[in-house]
Amino acid sequence: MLEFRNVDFSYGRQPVLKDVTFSVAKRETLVILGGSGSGKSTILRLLLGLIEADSGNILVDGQDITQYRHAEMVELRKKMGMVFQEGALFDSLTVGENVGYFLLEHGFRGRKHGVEVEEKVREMLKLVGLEHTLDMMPDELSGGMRRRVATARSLIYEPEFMLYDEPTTGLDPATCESLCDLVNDVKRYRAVSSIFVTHNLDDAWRVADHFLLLRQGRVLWSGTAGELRERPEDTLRRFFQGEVLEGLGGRQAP
Amino acid sequence: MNGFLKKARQVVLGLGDFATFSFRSTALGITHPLRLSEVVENAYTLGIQSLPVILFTGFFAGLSNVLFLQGELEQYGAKITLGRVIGVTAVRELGPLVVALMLTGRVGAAIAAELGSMKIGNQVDAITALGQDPERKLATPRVWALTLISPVLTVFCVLANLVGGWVVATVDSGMYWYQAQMALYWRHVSSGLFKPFVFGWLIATVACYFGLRTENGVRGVGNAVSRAVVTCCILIFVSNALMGLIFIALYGL
Repeated sequence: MLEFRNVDFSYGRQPVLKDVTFSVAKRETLVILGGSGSGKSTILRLLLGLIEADSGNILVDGQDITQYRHAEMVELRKKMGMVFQEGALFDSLTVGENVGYFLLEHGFRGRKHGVEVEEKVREMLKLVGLEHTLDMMPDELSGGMRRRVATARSLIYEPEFMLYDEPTTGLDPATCESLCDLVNDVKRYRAVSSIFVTHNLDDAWRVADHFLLLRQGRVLWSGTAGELRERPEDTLRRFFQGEVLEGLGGRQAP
Repeated sequence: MNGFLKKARQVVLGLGDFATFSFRSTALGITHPLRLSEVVENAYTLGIQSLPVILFTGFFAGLSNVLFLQGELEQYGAKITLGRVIGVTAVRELGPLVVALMLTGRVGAAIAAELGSMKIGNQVDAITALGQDPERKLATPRVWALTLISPVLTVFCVLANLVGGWVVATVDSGMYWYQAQMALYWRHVSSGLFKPFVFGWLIATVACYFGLRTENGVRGVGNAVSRAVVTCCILIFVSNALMGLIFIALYGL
């Protein structure tokens, strides 16, 4: 379980997140929706410990990670898989080496482990439907493929949580759909909790169990996909246009 | 005045940040031992592959030095010492400086650009997310490789300097090389071999520092490269002068 309690964060004097509170239960996908600069990606960076919150608590399985030391944070990251925007694959390594990166860098080196690592890499690539790309370089892959490989790179160490940072941005609709199917498969068969950051409404509906609407660093509303569906159809459109959303229910932030 | 103070504060903070970074990225090579392959691979791509361009420029640097020096020496009737003069120059100053400047241009710029691109493409964050320290993974092997390979490159560059000088020298070849050997006193050689360690370390730490601190997208990468190159050049000349003073204080002229 992931939980944010009254988290504030600012870059210098520029506030980015204000009093953000939400939680993600096991085997659930939380979609964080918001425009550019609303602080969506910042939430993922806080969870990975790439930046530190100014105040508030971030809990992972009940443990407050804002108090973690460096070594504890390194251990925690092994529970988290992150798919960055554009995939962030290592350009100088092959697809296979990218996917096996975690194992290779954490002791599974040399002949003894060679077969073991390769088997695991193939299994992961098969899972994301890209077994044939094993020896290709990242720049030979399309945008959608890069993000699938990035997903495989994270799944290899069997994380408990998957964090997706706008994984479908800039992809064609068919690729978006298949990537969302992958996100759902990962949730279903690997029992992970996920946070999916996006500003694409179609993708959001495809993967969401819960929604969190962020505007200028504040939580405007949070609730289940079912609850949001009961709202007027143009709610999300109006949210993106920055309108005041009266009548969104009791959980709308002031 | 306020603007000046603000700028001064930024510079001091930046220097502190750089000092911490350079110390840490070097020390990580000892506390978290490097794999030999990491150092060798970097020493090859950063160092050995720079050898042709270092030999080429070293040759012409030596050549042009002799061109004007032999005329000057002739006026004092000391042309016979040409080999020795160019030998001392090459070992103490020219060799280490040519290597340092070529490494700055070829390697320092490349490191800053590569790490800068990785930073803006989230690859540096991806390394952190995959449970590793980006400084240990990206900076430490480069710092150690360049520090250790620079003296080797300098030896070759000094030879290229001497060969370049010999091509245009108007003294007897035997005398030229005999005199050049006379330059190989410990006080000259120690200076010539010590400086490249410092230059290699400076170039690698500065380039890695600016690369890993890249911000503001593609434009930031250009800025990182240009700041890395300019800072390296300044530090090379300043540290060269300081080391010159120290060596003279230690061993005399």
